[in-house]
Amino acid sequence: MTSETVLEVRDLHTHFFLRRGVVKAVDGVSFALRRGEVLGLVGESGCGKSLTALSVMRLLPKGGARTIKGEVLLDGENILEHTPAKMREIRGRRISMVLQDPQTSLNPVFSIGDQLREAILRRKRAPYTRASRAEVTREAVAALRRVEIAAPEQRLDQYPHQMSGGMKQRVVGAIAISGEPGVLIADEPTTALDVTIQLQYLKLLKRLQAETGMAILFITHDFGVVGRMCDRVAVMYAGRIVECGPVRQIFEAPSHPYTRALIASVPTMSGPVGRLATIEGQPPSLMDLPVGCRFASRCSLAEQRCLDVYPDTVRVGEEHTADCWKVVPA
Amino acid sequence: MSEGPPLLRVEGVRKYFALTKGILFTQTLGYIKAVDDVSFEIRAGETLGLVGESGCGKTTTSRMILNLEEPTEGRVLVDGEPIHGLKGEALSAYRAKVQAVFQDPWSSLNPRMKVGRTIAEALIVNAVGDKARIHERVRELLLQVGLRPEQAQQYPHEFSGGQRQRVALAAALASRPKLIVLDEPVSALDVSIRAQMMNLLKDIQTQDNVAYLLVAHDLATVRHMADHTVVMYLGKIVEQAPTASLFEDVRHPYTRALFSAVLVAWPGRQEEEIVLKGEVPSPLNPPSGCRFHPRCAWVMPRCSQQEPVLREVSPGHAVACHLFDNA
Repeated sequence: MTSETVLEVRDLHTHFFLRRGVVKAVDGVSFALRRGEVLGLVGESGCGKSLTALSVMRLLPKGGARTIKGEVLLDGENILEHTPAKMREIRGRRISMVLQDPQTSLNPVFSIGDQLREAILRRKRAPYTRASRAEVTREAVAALRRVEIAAPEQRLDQYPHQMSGGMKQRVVGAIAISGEPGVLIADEPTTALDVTIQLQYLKLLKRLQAETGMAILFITHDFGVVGRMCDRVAVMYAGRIVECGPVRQIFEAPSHPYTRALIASVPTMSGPVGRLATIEGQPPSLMDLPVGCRFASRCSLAEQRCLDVYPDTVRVGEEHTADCWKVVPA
Repeated sequence: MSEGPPLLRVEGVRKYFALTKGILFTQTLGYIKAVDDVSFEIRAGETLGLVGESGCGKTTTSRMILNLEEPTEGRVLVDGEPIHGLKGEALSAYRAKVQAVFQDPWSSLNPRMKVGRTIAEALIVNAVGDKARIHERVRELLLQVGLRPEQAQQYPHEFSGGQRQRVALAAALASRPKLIVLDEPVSALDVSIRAQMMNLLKDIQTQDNVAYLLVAHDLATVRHMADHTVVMYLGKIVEQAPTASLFEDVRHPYTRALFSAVLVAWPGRQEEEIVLKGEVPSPLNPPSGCRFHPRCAWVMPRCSQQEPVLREVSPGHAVACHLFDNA
């Protein structure tokens, strides 16, 4: 682990223990996030990308989800071993998260100002007195200005329903970064936004990152967003990262057959219009994962070995790895 | 394209929603001009893409075409006949002709009904025939959308998102419609499933010569599916053209901004980038003149005073913008 690494996840396993069996939603995920970079975590629904994020935050959904193995190292300390009280200290100050739907992240019955002030007070561990009120309000206004909200003083007294989706997502962002965290996890933050608003938001996020030097783990299913935002990309399939590398290499020379098929199936804005490439079949059931490569049943290159043994992680280029028997090591 | 009268003709439709206050003594505060003078045509077997951001009026337009909403002004004609005000058998005949598939198959399928029954219901309503005939047609429809006939016995929750969207499509196809309104049919689906669904829609169009009105916000999807594209902003058409011509030569400043905001997957391949200032203004009180002028980079004094009309700049390609007044 280099000195630059702020967050490292090692061999993370988070499973759902249900009456009808064990759902291995995250099953051996490892990656490292460096200071000031954006790492994209891409994959289709159910591949485990959001659950990976929730495992890192230690905010697993109720109903049988447990992290049973692995380490999450934040600045070198394993936060999986922390007490819940210690975790509450860490969340918001050292690691924060922004979710897809700003409507559900904000409380509808409190004003924007109340919700921002709460976040600021919690960070300062200060009681809310008359003296601190003016100071905290000033900080709240500054936080809104930072996320480019016009007329922030007036916005403080507004409620979430009085704001547009893009504006609400900015407020959520303002709350998330108010504690100046070193790591921000953004889980599909722009999926619910219109394209022109999405572009505004992504530019804002880039600017904030440049100012603060925070690292961003950017979870998305949209390759357009990846190309725009990320420095490196990790592609997930059925609970594991199957390929990881610099964004340009992933786009220009994808190694893993799954990544290749996924990129080929994206409708493009230029080039010929015709039948789109598709990936036949369905991902395997997470309750009954194959012993070999998880993509083998849908892969055109699969051979016997792929069905029998899970492939090693192969280095295919500088910082570029793929879990596949058929790729040629660099 | 085939000549002859169009299958669907939308003629200057407007839809204003009154914003009222009070229950007993209602007071009208103003009108939300959701759709304001929109006209276009779709021919048999053709796909028209309707694009724009939230609140541009694309869904209200499609709801008027589906006869779920009465226009405040203007007419919608299917096969030359106005659809609003139809009653009895004529209304049923129209419903059989025009069907819809919506974004979220979860909400369009009854969770307590086997999917075979859902599809059969559409056939019973249209009096297709006896039990055996209906059973046979359900089988046919499932095969046509790429599902297995025995899956008729399953419930919606037993299907994946993509499969549920196929079931919704099978139900829409049951009455052998001439036009299907597809409202964001693939935006809830995963990338690899999205491609399968798009291919399927194209195959069905080739087989059955059905026309589609594709309402979508994703330009790449529209590029791959539509023959013609209509771009809307705040209830108005700002640009319309054959899809190939539009994607080659984007004219209207709003369309250009919309295109540049589409994140081209390949890093570093972005050509121009226009970041729009602010957000879409309220349709309750739209800006004077051109509705896009407060956000436009090429704004001129004329733009805030005079509303631009849609005019042809090249064959089939029409733009509503003062920049092209002298073109």
